[in-house]
Amino acid sequence: MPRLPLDGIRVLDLTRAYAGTTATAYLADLGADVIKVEAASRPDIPTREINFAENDPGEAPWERAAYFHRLNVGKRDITIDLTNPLGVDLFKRLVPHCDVVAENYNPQTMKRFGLDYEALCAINPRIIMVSMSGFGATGPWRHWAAYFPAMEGLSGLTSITGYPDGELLNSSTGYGDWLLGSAGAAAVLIALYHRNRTGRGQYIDVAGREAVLAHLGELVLDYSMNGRAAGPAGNRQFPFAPNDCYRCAGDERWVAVSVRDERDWNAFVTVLGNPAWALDPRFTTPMGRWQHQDEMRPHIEAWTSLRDSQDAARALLLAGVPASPVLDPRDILLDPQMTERGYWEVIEHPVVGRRVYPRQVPAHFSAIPGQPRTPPPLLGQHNREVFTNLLGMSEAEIAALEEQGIIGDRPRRATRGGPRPHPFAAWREKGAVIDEDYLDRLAPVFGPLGPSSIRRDGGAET
Amino acid sequence: MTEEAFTGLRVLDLTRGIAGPYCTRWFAEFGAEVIKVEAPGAGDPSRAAGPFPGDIPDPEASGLFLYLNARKKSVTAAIETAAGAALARDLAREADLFVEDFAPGVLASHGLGPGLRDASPRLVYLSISSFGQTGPCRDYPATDLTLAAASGTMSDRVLAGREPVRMGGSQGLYIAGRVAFISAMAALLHRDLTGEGQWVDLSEMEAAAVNDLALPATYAYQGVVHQPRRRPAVRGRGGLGRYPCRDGWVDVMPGVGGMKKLATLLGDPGLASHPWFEDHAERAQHASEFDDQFMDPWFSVRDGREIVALAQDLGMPFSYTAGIGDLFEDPQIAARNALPAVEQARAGTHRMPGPAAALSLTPGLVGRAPTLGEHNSEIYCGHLGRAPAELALLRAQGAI
Repeated sequence: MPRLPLDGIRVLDLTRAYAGTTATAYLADLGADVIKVEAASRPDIPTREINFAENDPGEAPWERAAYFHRLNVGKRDITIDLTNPLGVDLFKRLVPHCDVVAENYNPQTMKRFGLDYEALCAINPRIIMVSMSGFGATGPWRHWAAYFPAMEGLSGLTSITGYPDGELLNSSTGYGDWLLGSAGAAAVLIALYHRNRTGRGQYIDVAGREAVLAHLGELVLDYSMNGRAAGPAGNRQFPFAPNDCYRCAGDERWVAVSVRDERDWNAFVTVLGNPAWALDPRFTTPMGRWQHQDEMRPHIEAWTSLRDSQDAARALLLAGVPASPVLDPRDILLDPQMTERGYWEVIEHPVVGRRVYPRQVPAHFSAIPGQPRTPPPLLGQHNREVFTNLLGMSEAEIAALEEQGIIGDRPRRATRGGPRPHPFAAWREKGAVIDEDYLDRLAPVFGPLGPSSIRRDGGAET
Repeated sequence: MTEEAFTGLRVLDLTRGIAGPYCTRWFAEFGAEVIKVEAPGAGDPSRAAGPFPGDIPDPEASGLFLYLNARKKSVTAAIETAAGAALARDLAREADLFVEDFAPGVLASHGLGPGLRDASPRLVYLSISSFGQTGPCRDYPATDLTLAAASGTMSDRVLAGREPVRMGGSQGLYIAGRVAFISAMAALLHRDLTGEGQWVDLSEMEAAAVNDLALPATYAYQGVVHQPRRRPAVRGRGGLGRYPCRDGWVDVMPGVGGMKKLATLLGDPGLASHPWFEDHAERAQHASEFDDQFMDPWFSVRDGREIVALAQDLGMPFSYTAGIGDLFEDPQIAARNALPAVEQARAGTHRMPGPAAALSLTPGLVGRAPTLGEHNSEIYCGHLGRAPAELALLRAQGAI
């Protein structure tokens, strides 16, 4: 079997919810042994208590949650109650066996547990610790908390995202979380490279707001140079014009089109059948088109609205004009480019059966053909394995930990009024589109999916 | 002297625009020698993109270029000429990492493709392209907008009756650059284990797609194609979401157990026992009245900064919508030096984002961007041992 880039690297993963968890998802995908540390008294609630398979919480809702599964493929899972001093001792015994400790608590929390960098370093001087928070571990806002709207809002990203009339939108995709996590993962890889050469670990402090800000460099420079703060521009991007989404045939189907230059414009006009409006003097120069984008919309939609978004995009692409249908989640799972490249991996989970997950590092590596990953773990699934193999604990010692409530494999209390299904009927009234037959629609590409795909021959669980 | 993580690492950078240069910016920031190969004459197209001081175009003063190429070295080589391609090949022999973003197959036709690894088995060769080196879409052109559409990340960023919108800036290309960096690091760490280089093929569309949690996961688990999407505007309801304040917008997130704190924030802790505060269902049923009576009167007479500071002190993760200019007066950014000032060759001194992560031992440094071909003599004569007279000849031939 080929060696993976992070073979032999072990990560103690205290991250929860979204941002930090994406960081260790990158590391797991690259072959690190990521041991996620939850607690039976405090599991990873934000991701384990929503979006259940088949919208059914079932008997063990925490093992049916889409986001938890999506973010934790390929990781192992143990439980340790760190609010109990015995739990902290247990955690400390694992530190010498690990290379990286990752966490996204509020900056004071690790100190309160007695597990800040100095404490970890005293146990294992080669340790790399990465802390991921909204605003960083230093400065006057270090105690402030943030979810992704805060990371996007306080970095300036929200102020430039939305419609030109001033209606602002956040990413809606958790982009701020993803940027905090990817910056954390990138920083850990840098620190591992450095440690390979010097033998020294270090502490990494990642602020989500700064991780977003790094993607706004030219906008910051415009303010520094010209005192100009950009606002929301919709889909406009100078000097491309037209550069927007246009309505196609069907319910809420759109095609995105970018005309970059004169060559693209000529090709675009040809594909549209050389309509008379394109000769309007307002539209015959790049600057004219830039200034009159709104006036072009009805003309362009007269062509696109009669066409399927895929067909419209294909006609433009074949003429060399950048275009794409605005893909929705169903489209993207069935996208031929992605399926041919093996972007999705089908993994069997003991509770929800075979499901489709993206590879967190989607690049193709010539020396490392995509290796199968282990399913997202059950709560505390690897307690026995980890405590026996790494710490040499006996059955009696593990049983004692269970009895003391330090470890466990069932959540000890419900939170937030308990897990509930989404009110799909009410959602549909508000314009939601929900397929009943989603497993069947995906099956031709991915094979049988869902609970009925679980192999019951005893060889299923890995 | 600051310790640097990538001391001694050599990166040969044949990328233009945003994604590739942002990938190699990480290497330059953390101490690698990044040699950027530009086309003689105009150089990287981002030199023409701006923004420029005073809006006066100058290839040495484009904000996009200055940001993305901080601390790199610039040489020129016309790779479509035999002499130019030979220079790039010689540089590749000295490199640990080769990064390129040409259309699939273009560099191979100039003898600069992944076949370079035959002569340098330790070389990591990273190709960044819109859709990847394989598959039915590999030859299609793309922009940040069409990548957002193709990656499935914009279908729910929409208001009722209007078109979906991409995120501001060039987020698809930036995230592709960051995932490219992670992929390059994976290959370099793999080389530490095995001694072998390899070819890495990164699709910008796939990199953009993977940084989206919700949509494909909820479809594969629940069949949700679109969440409820008939919202005419983004407005908070019942104490959660975006609320207008006196000078802008505040994202309100009471968080776990937060309604008690919200009552305190609104100046009347006693409200916590009001049924609309105590009971989620009650509040949902009377959301508009709740907002009219409690939220709007209090928010509309206060500034975002004030509201957020009060809420955060109570442990609620509120935020305000900052404009780019607000960042220049932000105490947290000042304390962390997150927008350091950099003196450029011709553009003057300007502030730009620093490293995206603070590493205690190898913190990363910002620096100025190179002028076009600034390092021709240093690299071609110093590194490759070409004679100055030969350089003059190459210049006359238009190869550099």
